[in-house]
Amino acid sequence: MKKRHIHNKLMLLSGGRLKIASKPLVVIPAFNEVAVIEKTLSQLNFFKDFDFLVVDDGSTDGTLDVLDRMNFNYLSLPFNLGVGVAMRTGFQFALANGYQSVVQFDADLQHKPEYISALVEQLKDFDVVVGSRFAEKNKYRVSWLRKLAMNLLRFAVSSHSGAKLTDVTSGFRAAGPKAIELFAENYPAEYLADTVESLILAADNGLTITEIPVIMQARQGGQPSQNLLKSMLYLGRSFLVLIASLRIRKR
Amino acid sequence: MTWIFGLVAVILLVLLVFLNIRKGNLKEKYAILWLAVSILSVFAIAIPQFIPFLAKSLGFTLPANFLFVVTVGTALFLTFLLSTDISKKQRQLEQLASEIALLKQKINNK
Repeated sequence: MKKRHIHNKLMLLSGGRLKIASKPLVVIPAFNEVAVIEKTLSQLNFFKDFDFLVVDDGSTDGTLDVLDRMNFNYLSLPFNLGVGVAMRTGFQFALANGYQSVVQFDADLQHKPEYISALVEQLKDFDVVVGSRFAEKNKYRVSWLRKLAMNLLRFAVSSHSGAKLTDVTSGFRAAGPKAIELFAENYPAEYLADTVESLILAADNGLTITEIPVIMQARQGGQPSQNLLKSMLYLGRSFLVLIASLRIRKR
Repeated sequence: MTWIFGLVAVILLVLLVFLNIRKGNLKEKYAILWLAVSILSVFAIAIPQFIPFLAKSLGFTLPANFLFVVTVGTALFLTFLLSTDISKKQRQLEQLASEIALLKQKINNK
């Protein structure tokens, strides 16, 4: 019932006929990123093999003006609803416009665009590909408390998925056609839990998941969240994610 | 004399419920709940033995304790109902926001 609803809706948005887009779609969720968005987008403009879509999550700082000025393709949500909803909207756009692969990409250039094609490459064999900061090329260091939280989250995911994943909180990832369809309808919107929950959701729906090593940069704007208090909060949140993951059911 | 306070409170509650239904501020679902609360209160006021009797037959030593349990229980139930309702609304709101964003993009790109 629900599935039919979203299909009808998307048929409407796509003008009644489903096209097939040949390029992968790179979705960039952005909330108040005016400090970095211009730099990010002008770098991405060099990559001609992909279509790009910014999903503005109700920014109030002029991010939209930048997008307008740069004539960049974007969706804008009427108010801030979190990365999860922004991504869900991006997946709905992808589904309506016939995209076969979607890559999630950070607006603050934490992720390196050079890795996008490597992620997409893996979609031939897997439904979801995660760019991991920990697999091999390991330079990304975190505090023990944060490590504990990450292990907890990893446990939450591995209890659902057979795949061995080292970095379940990475927001740099790619989704194939099956995953796009699932996420367009169901991408989890719980605050800051979307990365982990979406993997559990994918695993529970029989999608295959893999990861490839990527190198990430320090955030280009704002502060990295690495102090003790923040790590504690992070740990607390990961327990919430565990609870939230109970909610996920096969459809 | 205390029963007068009770009666005034119930009348005020019923009035509040009806006024808000008229203004469209209160869904019938909740109106029924609040009316049920006021009907029970009327019983308690009209028949003074009502609460003590119920309390005694359920094993409470003091009727006041029974009242506390019932009122706190009702309040918790109502807040829980509201929490689930809000969660559902949140989900609907998200869907609407997504659709608006997609439609806006479609209009702008025409």
